[in-house]
Amino acid sequence: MRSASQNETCILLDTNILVDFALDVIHEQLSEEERAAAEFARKLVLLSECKLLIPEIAVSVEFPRAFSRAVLEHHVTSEDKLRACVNMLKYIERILKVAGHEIVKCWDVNVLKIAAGWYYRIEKVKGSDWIKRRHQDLIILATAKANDACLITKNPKDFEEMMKVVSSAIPLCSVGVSGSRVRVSWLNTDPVKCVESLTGA
Amino acid sequence: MRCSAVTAVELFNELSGRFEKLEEEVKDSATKFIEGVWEDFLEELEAAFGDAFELGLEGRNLQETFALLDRLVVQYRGRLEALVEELKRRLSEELLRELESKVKLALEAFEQVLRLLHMFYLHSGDEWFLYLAMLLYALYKSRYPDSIYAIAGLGKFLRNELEEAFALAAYAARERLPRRPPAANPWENPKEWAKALELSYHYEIGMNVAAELMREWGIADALREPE
Repeated sequence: MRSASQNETCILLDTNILVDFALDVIHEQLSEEERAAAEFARKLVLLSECKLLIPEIAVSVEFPRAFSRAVLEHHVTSEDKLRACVNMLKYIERILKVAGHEIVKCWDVNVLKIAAGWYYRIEKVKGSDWIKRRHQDLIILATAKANDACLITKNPKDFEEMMKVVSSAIPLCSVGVSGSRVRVSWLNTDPVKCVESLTGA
Repeated sequence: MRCSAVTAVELFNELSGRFEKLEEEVKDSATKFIEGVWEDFLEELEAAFGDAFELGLEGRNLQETFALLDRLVVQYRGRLEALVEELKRRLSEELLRELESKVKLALEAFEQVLRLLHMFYLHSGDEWFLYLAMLLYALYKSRYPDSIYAIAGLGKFLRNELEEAFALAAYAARERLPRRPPAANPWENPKEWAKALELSYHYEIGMNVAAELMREWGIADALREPE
């Protein structure tokens, strides 16, 4: 786990922000909202002074899973394309490291202990199906807790419900988009300047 | 940066099946080309400035390099401009022609060279292509007299002094980098200056190439669709 002595507020990225970072903001037929969210994520990762934590589960599990799924479903057998796909994942990791961000472990005793305790309590209140479908979000929330980080996400609702059940006040930053304007709102924390500055607020 | 005429996917498809041979040829010819241009530039500097150039740019540490370049810019502004602009023109136009002769594509804008080099990097994983693309990006964004610092960065690159090369190049393009450089001087904190250049490059060039390929190959859709 990271040292609690650091003064800066660490921001843990939910997977949906990292996915936005990887979207093609130039050519893709994105809606105005999608494009604004993608540009916000690109700026957050590459241009902001924020210290970001990236859950290992997003970089080492979700991204490779999506890459391999696309390769299979699109019948990609070209060696050139496959090499580029493999190197593209390394490229994204390189960018995160050069920017000074940190890939943090989710398969960690402390994270899993927190998540398992919460899972039990949430299952009792919300039911087994509800929490089963959201077990990965729960691990990300537990990762934020274990790292004393503020979680930034586009979908705060489930996280808020989980926190309510387990009576935990983890700092949360919700990213909302209206037209081309990105707004962030904060729960359980004061606004973090490096994020606020990206919204022009 | 504006949308490019030739997309990354079109470039990739055009090069498919020939990548490895082209990467080898381009690396070899670009290295020789830049070495040649760099040596010509040093000779012209020595001829033009004689004593002022003293021991030349090579063998100096970063702070001494900046001190020398600062002095040249102040004392010989008019004379230096022609040399720098000529070198910048050769690097952009002739390197473009050099690469184009290898890949036989209509590369209209210098930005296309950066995209091509980035694609070679993504395909081969060889960071040499990324480093060259970053330095040319800085040169592309810099204006005289600042471009002389980017040119000096190429000299450091040829000597494999990478952090110093990127710090010089970042300084050259400092006013137009989307990632703000640090307040410290480049010789005081070359690592942070190099970081500002690299992240700006990824923001304006690198991630656009990667994201376009990810979209075209269905990876972006797979990322957005839950399991």
